[in-house]
Amino acid sequence: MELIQNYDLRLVKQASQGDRNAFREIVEDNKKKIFYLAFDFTGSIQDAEDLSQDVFIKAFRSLHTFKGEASISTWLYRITLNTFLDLKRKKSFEMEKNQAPLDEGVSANPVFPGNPSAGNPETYAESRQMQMHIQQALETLSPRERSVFVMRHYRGMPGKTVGELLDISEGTVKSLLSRAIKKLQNALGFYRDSLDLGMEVQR
Amino acid sequence: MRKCKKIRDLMPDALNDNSVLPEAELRILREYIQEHLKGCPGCSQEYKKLAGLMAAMNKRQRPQMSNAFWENYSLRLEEKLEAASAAEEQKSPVNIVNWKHRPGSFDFKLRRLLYPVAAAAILVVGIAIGLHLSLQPGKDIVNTAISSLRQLSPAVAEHFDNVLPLLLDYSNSSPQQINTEPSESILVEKSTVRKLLLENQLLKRVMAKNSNITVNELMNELELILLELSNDSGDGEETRRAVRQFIKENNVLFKMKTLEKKDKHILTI
Repeated sequence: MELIQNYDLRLVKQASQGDRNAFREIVEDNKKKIFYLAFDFTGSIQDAEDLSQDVFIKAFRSLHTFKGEASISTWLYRITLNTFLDLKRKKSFEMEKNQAPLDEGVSANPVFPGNPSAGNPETYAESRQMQMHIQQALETLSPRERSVFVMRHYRGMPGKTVGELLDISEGTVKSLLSRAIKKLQNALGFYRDSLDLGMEVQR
Repeated sequence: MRKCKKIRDLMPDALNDNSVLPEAELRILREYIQEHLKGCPGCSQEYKKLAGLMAAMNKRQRPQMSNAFWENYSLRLEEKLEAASAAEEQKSPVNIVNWKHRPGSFDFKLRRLLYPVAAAAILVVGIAIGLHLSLQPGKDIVNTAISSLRQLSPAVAEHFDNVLPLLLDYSNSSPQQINTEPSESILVEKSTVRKLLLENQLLKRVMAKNSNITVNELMNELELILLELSNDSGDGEETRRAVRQFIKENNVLFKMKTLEKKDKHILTI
């Protein structure tokens, strides 16, 4: 861990001294992680690209603030969270709600698991509907609830770490997670019966 | 009952397929929960519901982006970085400050949008102090705060949505209690004051980043007062008198109204 942090610190130092290749390395190592985190927050490819690129631009401007206390990834996670919350606060971050979120492709034409070309069109349609419902459920959460839920559930981070990233106590993380779960349960209530039947509860 | 709460708090970790906890720790956690579930129908039901939700949320798919996308992604980022560097190089340090604060810039808009958040914080703190001082047991701080804050702007309403769980947590109330139970259950307590203090510090940090000196100064004063209130172990009469004096001298309510007007003005642009 210490080795990684020393390496990170050296890389950031080189980048802050104007070494573009060092910054490129930071981007290449982290772009997928940050893009998919941004996608989890926004639910749209275009917004995820914009948000994640804003994160790298902010990181570039504040390289001198990186002290190596955490890894570069953690540092970028924190910037992503703050950028997302700031943008939501600003209200200028309008998600394209009139479109199905997963239809918002860019020129590179993303491929989802369950693409009709790869399987049964009926299953694909059901899966897409489910994706839409999940996205709509996530949009019922406040930005902080969504941040906590994404970091806890999709990233599997412990409450303490999420609290540190968001500058809030672990108790507040619990409270926000519990509110998020209640809202999601309400929003996805109509799936409950079928899910209860089909899933493995005992772990 | 206390154990049930602990078990329910642990459930999201036990049901998390993406958990970063070590496998051995997860296994122990799951066994511990299963042991409790055997004798607790309430928690079993809760566990089943939560497992259903987690299973549903795990069905969320992420787009698989092509190699071409990732190559273009890096190129587009390079272009943006070039533009950002060129813009900064052209400015002297003084000009950079001006550029950041010019009307219409990101920083300028951000600062202006922070006014409602500051107003919200001051209002919540003000209401807390007011109720603390007025000693009116029938007053309902949460409802009063909600109705006052929601009128300000969506930004304030959103900020309050974040503050609400804190208020609820520290007044040992649930959202249902707000609507159904007498308001005595959500009186401001010292722990709430402490939490407001923390919230105030968080906002101050945001303010400091944006060089909002006036709001910072006001918050510094409020922080001192909250600190005194939270540490007040006697009858607190002296502190309360000092607080009344401060509010009178600094015309806190007047300042809040000014900010509220500004906020409305900003939002109509």
